[in-house]
Amino acid sequence: MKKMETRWGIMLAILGILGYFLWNFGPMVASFFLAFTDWGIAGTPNFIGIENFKELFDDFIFKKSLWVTFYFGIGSVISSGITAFVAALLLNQSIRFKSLFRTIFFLPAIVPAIANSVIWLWLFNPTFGLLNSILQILKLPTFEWIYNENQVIPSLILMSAWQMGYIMVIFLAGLQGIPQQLYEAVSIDGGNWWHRFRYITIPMMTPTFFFQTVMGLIGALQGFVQPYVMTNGGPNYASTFMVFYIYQNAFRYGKMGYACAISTIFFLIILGLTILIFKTAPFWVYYEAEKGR
Amino acid sequence: MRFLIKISFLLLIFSFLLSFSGIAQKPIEIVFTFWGGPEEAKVMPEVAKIFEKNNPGITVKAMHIPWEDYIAKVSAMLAGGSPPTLGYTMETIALDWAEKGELLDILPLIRKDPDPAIKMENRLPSIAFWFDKKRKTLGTSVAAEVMVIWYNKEIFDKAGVPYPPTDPTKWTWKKFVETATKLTVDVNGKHPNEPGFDHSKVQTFGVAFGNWYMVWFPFIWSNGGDLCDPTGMTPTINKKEAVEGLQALVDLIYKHKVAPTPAQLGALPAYHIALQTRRVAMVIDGQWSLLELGRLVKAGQLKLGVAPLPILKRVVTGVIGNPIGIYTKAVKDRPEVLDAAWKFYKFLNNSETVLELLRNGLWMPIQKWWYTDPEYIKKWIGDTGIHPPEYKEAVIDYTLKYAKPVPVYYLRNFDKINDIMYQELSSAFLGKVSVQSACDEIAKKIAPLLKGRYDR
Repeated sequence: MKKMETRWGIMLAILGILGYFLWNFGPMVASFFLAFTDWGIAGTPNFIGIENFKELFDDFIFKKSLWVTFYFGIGSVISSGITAFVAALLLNQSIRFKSLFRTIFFLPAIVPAIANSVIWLWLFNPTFGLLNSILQILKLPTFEWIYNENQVIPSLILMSAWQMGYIMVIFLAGLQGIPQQLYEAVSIDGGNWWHRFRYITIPMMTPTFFFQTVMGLIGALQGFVQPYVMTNGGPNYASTFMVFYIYQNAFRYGKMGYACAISTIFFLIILGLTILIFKTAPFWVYYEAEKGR
Repeated sequence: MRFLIKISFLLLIFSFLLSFSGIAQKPIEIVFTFWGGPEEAKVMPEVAKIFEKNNPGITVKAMHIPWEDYIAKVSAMLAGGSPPTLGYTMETIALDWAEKGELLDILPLIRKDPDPAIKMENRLPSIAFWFDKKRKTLGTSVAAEVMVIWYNKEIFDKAGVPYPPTDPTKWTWKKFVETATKLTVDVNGKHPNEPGFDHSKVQTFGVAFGNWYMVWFPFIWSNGGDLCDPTGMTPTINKKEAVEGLQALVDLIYKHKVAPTPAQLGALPAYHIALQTRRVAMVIDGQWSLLELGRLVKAGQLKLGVAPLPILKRVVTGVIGNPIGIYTKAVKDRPEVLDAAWKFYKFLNNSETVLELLRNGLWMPIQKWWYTDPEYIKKWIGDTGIHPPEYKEAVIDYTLKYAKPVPVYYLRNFDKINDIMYQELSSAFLGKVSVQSACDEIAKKIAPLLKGRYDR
C-alpha cells in the first residue's frame, strides 16, 4: 500500500518536476552558458569569453540600473513592510466591520499589475492628478512624481506601499499566532501596551518579518511592470529596473547574450543578498524552539 | 513492472496523438505573422483568404501577434528553429536580421520576376531597405506613413483663423507659431500672448506632439541638421542646426506655451479624441491616424483637415513603415515553400490587393503610380468619405516630393541609439535641461554605437 502511494505520488508530481527542469532550471543553465556568447537571436552564437561581462562594466545604463533597482527594492520593502504591519496591527484589534476593512485593504493586491499602473499614472499626473490636487487643497507643495528624475523612485515606492495586501495578510496570520498567555503574563507583571508591543509582539513577529524581507526583496528587485507600463524606464533612466533592462536587451536590441550576462550577474547579486540576510538572521530573528541557545 | 507498463502505454498514446497532428499537415502551408489593431487583425486573414482562392494548393496561416509581444514571440520562434515563413518585421531589427542571414535577400527574386509592381524602381525610393552596400534588399515597407499635421477645422472656424496652407513651402515656422498661439486658449479665454494666461489651465492647446523619433527628425532635418554624418560614424546631433531644430519644438511648450508639457500630454486622451473634444487644435502625427480620425469623420463628429509640417529652413518630412521579411530557415531547400512565400509577398506588397487598408486611412500605397496617376489616386482616396480635400496636396504630393527615410532604414544600432535619445530628450522636453546639453550627452553616449550604415 505504502509503495503504491509513493508511486502515485511521484507519477502525479512528475509533470511539475519535469516542468521545473524544462522551463525553469534548463533555461537558467542555458542562460548561464549563453552569457559567454554573442548570440543575438538571429545568427549562430559564437563563444566570446567574458566579453559581455567586460562590456557591463562600461555600460552606464547597467550601472544606473543597478542603483535604481536597489533603491526601489530596499525602499519598497521597508515602506510596504511598515504600512502592512501598521495595517495588520489595526485590523488585529476587535473593531467593528473588521472583515470589511480587511477586504478593502487587501483589494489593491488583486488588481492586475497593468491596471494598477494605469490608475497610478493618473494619480501621479502633475497637472490633473488626484495626488497633486489634494496637496493643492491642503496648501502643500506639489510634486512632479514620475515625471521627475529624482522623484520617480519615491513615487513608485509609494505606489508599492499601496499594494501591501498580501504582506498584511501574512502579518495578520503572524499576529494571530502569538500565544495569548504571553500578553497576559506581561499584564500580570504590570506591563502596559508598550511593553506588550515591544517585548512580545515584535520578537514574536521577527520570523514573519524575516520571511517578508527575503521574499519581498526578491520580488521588488524583479520589478518590471512599472517601467514597462508607466515610465519607459525614464526620465533619464531613473526607473530603468534591471529586469526591464534585461528585457530591452533581449527583445528590443536582440542582444540575447548580453541580456544573459546581465541576468547571470543579477542572479548572483540576489543570491548573495539572500545569503547575507540569512546569515544575519540569528542576530535578530527569534525562534521559540531555540530558547536554550 | 506493471507500473512501468502503464506509463509506457500512456506515452504511446501521447506519441500517437502527436504524430497524427503531423500527418494532418497540408502540402504547402505558409505561416504569416503580423501585428496591428483590430482593423488589420480583421483585414489580413481576409487578404489571406483571397490569396488562397487565387492560388489553390497554398494555405496561409495568418497569425496575429500583439505589437507589444511581437519581437519576443517571433524571436522565440526563430530561436526555436521554427520561424514563420514570412511576416511583418520591426523596422528597428529588420536589417540586423537580414545582415545575419535570417531574412532573405529578395533582390534575385525581384530581378527574375516580370511583375512591374514588385520592381524597386517602381516603388517609393524613400521606403527601401537596402543592405550589404546596396547589393541586397528586403524590398520596401509594406506601406508608407509620413508625418503630417491633423487639425480640427471647427476650432479654426470658431477662432477665425485661416487653415494652414497645403503647399508646404508657404507653411513657415512664424506662421505656424502665430496660428498655434491664436488657437491656444486657457480656461479664462486668454491666449498665450496675453497677460494673465495660465499654461497650467489650458482649455485648448494649439498643437500637440509626442517625444519620439518620427517627431524629432523632420524638424532636425528641416533646420539643416542630422543625427550623424552621412557615413553614420560621427554624431552631429549636438551641432547648432540639429539642436536648434529640436529647440524649436521645446520652445512650443515652454516659450510660446502653445503645446502641452509631457505631463499634460500624458493626461490628454488619445489624439483623435483630443482633436474631436477640442482639447487640441492640431497634432503632429503619422498618416496612420486617419484610421481612427476617419471613423469620427464618418460619424459626423469631426471636421478634419490635414496639412504638411511647418518648415524651419527647408521642406521635409519623415517616412516610416515596416517591411515584410521572408525567413531564410523556413524556405531553405524547400523551393515550393519559397515559391508560395514569394507569391504571398508579392500579393501583400501590391497596394492594389490591400486597397481596403488604404481606403480606411491606415496605410499609404508603395508603388509610385499611386502618387502620380489620377486613376489610382481616385481609387485610393475617391469617395472614401474620410480623406480631407487637402489630402492630395498635403499628403500625396508631399510624400512623393519631400519624404525622407528615418534612420531605421539605414543606421546600425538605431534601436539603442533611439532609446538613448529618448531618455536624454525627455529631460529636455520636461524642461529640466537645455536641449544643447541633452544633445551633448546624446552625442557622447551614442559615439561608440555609431558603426556606419547598412546601405553603404
